[in-house]
This record gives sequence, C-alpha cells and structure tokens, in this order.
Amino acid sequence: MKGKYHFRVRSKKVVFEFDIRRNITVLKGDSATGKTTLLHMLYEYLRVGRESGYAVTADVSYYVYLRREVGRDWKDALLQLQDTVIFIEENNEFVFSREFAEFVKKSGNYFVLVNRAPLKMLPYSIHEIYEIVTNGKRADVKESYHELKEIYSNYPIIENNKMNYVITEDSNSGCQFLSHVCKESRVVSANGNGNIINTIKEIVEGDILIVADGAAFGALIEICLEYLEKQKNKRITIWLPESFEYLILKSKMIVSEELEKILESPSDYVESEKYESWERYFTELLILLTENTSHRYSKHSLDGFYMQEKNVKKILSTFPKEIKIEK
Amino acid sequence: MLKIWYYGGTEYMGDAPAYFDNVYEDEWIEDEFVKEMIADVDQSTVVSAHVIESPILGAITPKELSGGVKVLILMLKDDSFVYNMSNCGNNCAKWILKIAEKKDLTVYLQHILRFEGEFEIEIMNSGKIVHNPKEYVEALLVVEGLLDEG
Repeated sequence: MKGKYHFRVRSKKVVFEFDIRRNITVLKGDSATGKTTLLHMLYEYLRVGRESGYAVTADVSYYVYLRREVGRDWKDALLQLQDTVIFIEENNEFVFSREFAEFVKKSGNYFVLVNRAPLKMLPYSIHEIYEIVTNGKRADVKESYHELKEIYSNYPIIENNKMNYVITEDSNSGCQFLSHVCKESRVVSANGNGNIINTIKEIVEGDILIVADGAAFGALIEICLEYLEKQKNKRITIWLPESFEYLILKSKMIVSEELEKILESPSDYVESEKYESWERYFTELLILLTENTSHRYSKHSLDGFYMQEKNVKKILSTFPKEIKIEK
Repeated sequence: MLKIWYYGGTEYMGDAPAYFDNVYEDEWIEDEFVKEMIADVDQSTVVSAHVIESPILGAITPKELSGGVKVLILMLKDDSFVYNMSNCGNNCAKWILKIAEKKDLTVYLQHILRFEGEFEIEIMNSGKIVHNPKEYVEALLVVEGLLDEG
C-alpha cells in the first residue's frame, strides 16, 4: 500500500479532518482532545454507514479495532485485511508485541495507533506522531473543527556554533561523512539509537549535536527530548533528518526528474509491504541510482566521491541553517 | 505518596475507561474534587450525577468523559486495581499528584508522563525516590536500561 489518504469525519457537533501519509501513524497527546470520539465515530460509520448519523469520507478502505471481542482477537480481525487504513484504539496490549510488529511491517496496510507509550518494536517516524487540536479559526465550518498536528515537527534545533561533540546513531556512512566535515568536533558513534542517552551522559562538558534517522526514531523521541531538556549544564542540539541517504538524494548531487517527483511526495512511491520505513526506501533508492556508476553508494562504507568538496557542499546545503559547519 | 511501576513489576487494569463505565457511582461524579478534575481536564461542567455539559459535545453522561479523567476518578475512588497512568495525558499529571497527597497511590506507567515542580514519587522497580522532573526522568531511563546508573 502506498499513497496519502484524506479523511473527513463529521457529526452534527464535530468535524475531524486529516491525512494519513505513511504505514505507521501514532495519535497521542493530552486527555480529552477527541481521540476516542474520533475512533468511535469511524467505528459507528463502518458498522452502519449513514444510519450512524455520522459522515465519513475517505479515499481508501478503513477498519477500526476498538477492543477484543468474545472469541475473536486482533488476528481474526486484522490478518485478512489488505490496502486498508487500520485504526487501533488505546488499551490494546497486542500493539507492543513482536507478532503484531511483524504483521505491521509486512501486511501492506497502514496503521493508525492511539497510544502514548512508545511502540519499541515498530520503526515509525518522528513526523507521524500527532495530537488532535481544535482549530477555532475555521469560520466556514459550523461544527467544532479538529485536525492533526505533528507533535515533534518543531523539535528543538538550537543554534550551535561550537559543537565540541557530534553524536551519530550509527557508525556507517553518515558517521563517516560527519567525521569528514566536522573536523573541529569529536564525532562519536553511539552504535545504535538506544545508546544515545548514555553517550551524552559520558560527555562531561561541551556543546553536543546529535544526528539520528528521524524516519525510525518515533519510539525514542519523547524520552530523548525529556532527558535533553533537563540537561541544563550542556548545550545540546538534536537534528533528526529522515536519514543520511535522504540528505544525499535531496542534495541534487544526483540529477533525475523522477527523483524530484519522489522527493516531492514520497508517500506515492514507498510501498509499505516492501519497506517498513522511509529510511529503508531511500537507502535502496540511492543504491539503485548509483549502482552503475563509479560512486556506488554503500551504507557501510562511504565512497570518496561523497567527500569531494563540491559534493560535501551539496550535502551540507541540506543541513538546517542553525547547524553551522566550518569547511 | 505516588508509587510508580514503570514497564513491569505489577499487574494492572488493561482497559480502565471501559471498567469505569460499568462501575462508576453517582456520588463519585458529585464529589467536589471530581468536579474540579472534570472542569480542568475535560473543560466540562457537572450539572448533576447524570448530566455533564461539554463545550463541544453538549450534554453528555459520565460514560462520555475522557479516558484520562475516568482513570483519575478511578484512582481516587476505586482501589480494586492498579491503573495504567499512560491512559492519562500530561494535563492529568497535576491531578495524579493531588490524589497521591490524599492517599498512597500505586500506578503503572508505560511512557514519560510529564510532572512539573517538586514532588515525592517512588519508582517501585528500583526503590528510588525522586523529587523533581530531572530525577524522575533519569530514574525511569535507568529502569528502562537507556541510562546507566550513577
């Protein structure tokens, strides 16, 4: 399943309007924002259509799993579904299981999970974690209008000129690139995103830049930000681009009309049955686009081509302006 | 005092909002402290034990209260189970601390609920007592294995 799907869910009192863009979307946030109301309305419309008194318009099939029924568990309900946006209500413990995670990664459906707890088995993006907000400015709608707002779209990039340390999630190509360009800083690999916090802790003083793949950082973003916010003795910047490969593709180093279209709307190209996260897709795409060239991309070892001055400049042009790297 | 089991160590109520619908009592809704919680978290006014006025949904019954406020009421009124604090958003955190001032309250937690200011919370997995947001977050990270102790 691929594509972006628009939902409009309406009762006489409320309207919810939102897009679902990737295989895994998480809904959380404060209590009383309307999460349960939204799922209830979707469920009732699914059950009896217009007779529910609700109106749902969606350009895709959808399904709502509220809770286990007698003699019918989640597998009975979900395993048969294809090309469907599946909404799952809070308090369904199976969403934390390995079995469910395997199903999500391979099923070819999209999933919208109402859950505050991190789903550690699932590779979801920091950009697909939402809260429901009320938009009081929609004068054209008489009902109370609600939409989804990314919770972590404004993760705290702070201006950081010194960057004594750069911490990367992995030790592969991205780390090699940063080691090459951040000569004034000590570049440290955390060897996995689960070690980032301990790596920060070991640094006694100095400014720190953390770079990790946002495409699969969803389960760690909240806990990481909570920890960082409380480290008053260190200036820490966190930057979570989709992935290093995404930055190379975005840098215009590779010229391709098709690539421009893909980057404009990745949802239309990333087949969820094949790619569990956009990061996997972008890596494969970069390998494909460079396979018959002298600079074939490898995640494990970065070809010298990518560290040539003109190419370094192109990749650095994709960095946010707050992150200043002296060349 | 508030006592938190983080990611394990205790059995807990799996679907407290559904349980609430079956067990809530009229007196619970008429309690002044409960009315304050409903007003603050759900922005709704208790008219009577059976009718609550929501600014968005109009007249609702206690069954249409938010999941978060239902769990708060259960924490206050029904000691039959350990409740999952991850049913509650950050806008419930101050009320959980207020309930824990009234009685020892043991809860289960699966995410980092954001507490502000100073408090006394015991992280049951490690026995550590924490007093501020920094100590609290670090103690949870240690339990989760994301932060080495010391």
